[in-house]
Amino acid sequence: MSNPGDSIRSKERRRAQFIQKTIGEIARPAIAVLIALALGALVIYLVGEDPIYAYKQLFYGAFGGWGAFSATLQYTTPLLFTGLAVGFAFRSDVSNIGVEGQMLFGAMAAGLVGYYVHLPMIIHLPLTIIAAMLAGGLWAVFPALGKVKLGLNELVLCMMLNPMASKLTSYLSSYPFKAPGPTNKTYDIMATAVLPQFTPFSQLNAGFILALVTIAVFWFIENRTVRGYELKMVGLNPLFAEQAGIGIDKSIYQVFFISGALAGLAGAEQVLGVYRAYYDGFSPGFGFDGIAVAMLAKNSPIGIAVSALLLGALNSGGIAMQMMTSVTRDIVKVLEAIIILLLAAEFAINWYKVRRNRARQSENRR
Amino acid sequence: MKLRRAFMLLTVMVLVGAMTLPFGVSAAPKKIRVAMVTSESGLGDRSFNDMMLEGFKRAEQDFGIEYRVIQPRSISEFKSTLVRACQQGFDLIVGSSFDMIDPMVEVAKLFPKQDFFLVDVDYTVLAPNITSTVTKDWEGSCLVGAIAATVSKTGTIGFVGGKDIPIIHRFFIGYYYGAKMVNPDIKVLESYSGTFTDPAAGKEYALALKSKGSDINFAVAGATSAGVIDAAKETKTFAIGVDSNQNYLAPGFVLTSMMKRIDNQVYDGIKAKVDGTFKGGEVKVYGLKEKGVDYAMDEHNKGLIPDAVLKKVEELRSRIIAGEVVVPNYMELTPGQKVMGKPAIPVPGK
Repeated sequence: MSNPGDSIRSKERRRAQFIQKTIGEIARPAIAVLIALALGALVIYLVGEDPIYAYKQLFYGAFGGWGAFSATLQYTTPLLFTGLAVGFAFRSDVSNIGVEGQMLFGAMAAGLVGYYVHLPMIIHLPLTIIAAMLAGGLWAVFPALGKVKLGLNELVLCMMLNPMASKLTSYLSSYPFKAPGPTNKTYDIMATAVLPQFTPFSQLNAGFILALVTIAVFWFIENRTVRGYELKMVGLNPLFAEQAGIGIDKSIYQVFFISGALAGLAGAEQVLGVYRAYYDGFSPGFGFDGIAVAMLAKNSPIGIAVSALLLGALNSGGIAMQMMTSVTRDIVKVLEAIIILLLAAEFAINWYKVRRNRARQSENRR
Repeated sequence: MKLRRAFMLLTVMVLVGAMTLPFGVSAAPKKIRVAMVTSESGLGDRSFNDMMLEGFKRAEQDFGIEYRVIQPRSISEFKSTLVRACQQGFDLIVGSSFDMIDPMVEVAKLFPKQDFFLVDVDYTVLAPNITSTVTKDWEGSCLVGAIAATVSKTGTIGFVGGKDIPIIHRFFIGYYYGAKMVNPDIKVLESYSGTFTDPAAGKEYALALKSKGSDINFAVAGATSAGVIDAAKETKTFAIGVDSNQNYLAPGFVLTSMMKRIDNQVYDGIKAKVDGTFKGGEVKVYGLKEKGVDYAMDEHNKGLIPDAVLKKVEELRSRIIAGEVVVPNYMELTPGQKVMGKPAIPVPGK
């Protein structure tokens, strides 16, 4: 006979453990951000400005008033998609750092389908978005093929595929699909493919809502579905996953495709919502920022929403800070770099631990 | 008791002091505040944006204005950046590049009382509160083309552009025209490295042109130009710099630089604001006549260009200024008049 008090106690213990774990997970990135802000303050002080005043301007520039806040949300939106793309892959131990290239192809597909296809909005807009997801997903199949069929390292593959994607899309927008005019861009998309903008003060658009919905969907997939759990196991313990009958190869294809499709969504939001055409070289590195977002969030969808907002706010507030002080935008880059460095150090240690444990496991098996 | 009174007296004094302090400040003449919004490549490009900054620095010295540099990371940040600059109450907001036209026109409609200045775009009047400028870089390119065609020993000269975009073609057409004008038999090789940020690519392209016989290469490619200049030094040929005076980058191997005096345009724009003569809805043209473009002569390229050549080029300059010679503008060529490598523009007589 079990004592009913026991189960209550264990429930309490579990809750306490959960809270402790959550605090632990939030604390480390938070500490990294605080250290970065402190070091940033030092840099600002050294260039002869008042750090408190500068940070105050940074904060008001990100959240003070609708003009500023809508810009923050605009800068956050692409990072929501790319962060999720990277995080979803990382969770299954697939290092898709080719998100930048996949995003460019998604953007290009959105630009072309948005202009050349003529349909009523209710079909055209979803079709354009799906085309962008397909294009991003298909470009992501290449590194998956290399990893599965040839046993190549996907990090290297992705790194080589990024410049290829950038040159290819640059070629497409500069020659075959170029619209006449002084800039290298494709034709403006049809009004039926436009994601409407919310405010005249920035280019915040319906893509932001799409991003929030996507985050919610992925939270559900990862935490409430069997397949989501399986894909997580592939990352946590591939040996166990294999024993349990989860096809690793199939999972890798799937993860890469979905991750690439998410990257494609980022491109779609930029083209359909912000620019209304594909502009050559439009991305300041959203795909790479996505890596930082995912690392900061430890790959959890909710965390990705928070850290994307943080990076978006830094960039948006940084612009206001430049107006009120003589601190340049580079300080924002410094902050980002310090955060990434601190997290990467931790990441590397964890990665090493996982590999060591895995090596031990396979030794024990023998 | 005494202590308390002394304390109160002190408080009153501090309060009065604090109240007079801001009044004292506001009694001084209000400084004109100007914002500079850079193109996405930002400061430190040793070219366009840095040249603009020079204009601000001179204006600060001469008119005592106050300026802030704002650097958006991408074209998508232009609009929200301009909006927030408007909300900060700058007297004038200065921007540059074709990519900023649309965002600035939209924001100018939202803030009709805000004055804007947009440098280096085209002849279109943008809005009643925007003054824009056109730099006739094709006229300057024509002069350096004429210099290159006369100095060349191999009878072949080259051109390394950044991206294959119309504004870079504008330089090439001018260069081609000037070269053909002084020597109809000259061969002019055209190439585009596809990047404004990769010196290594610039070097490769310059070496490739050299192997085709070109001994003078005009580099119009932002940071990529550094590689072209490097290649000139290595192969003992000449490079021609662009935008700012780049002669110093490799003394003896940079024949000259085609300078776009963006700093003068910025300076003039701010001056108009300070004088109270600034009015929007205007397009100002900066060609050879207005000293908006020129080729650079200094101690680093002394003796590289013979005096006889310079004399000929100065003659060409006065003919352009007088309107006897009209250098074609790429943007005004009809479609099909120009295909890559084969400019179908009328070649001028001798």
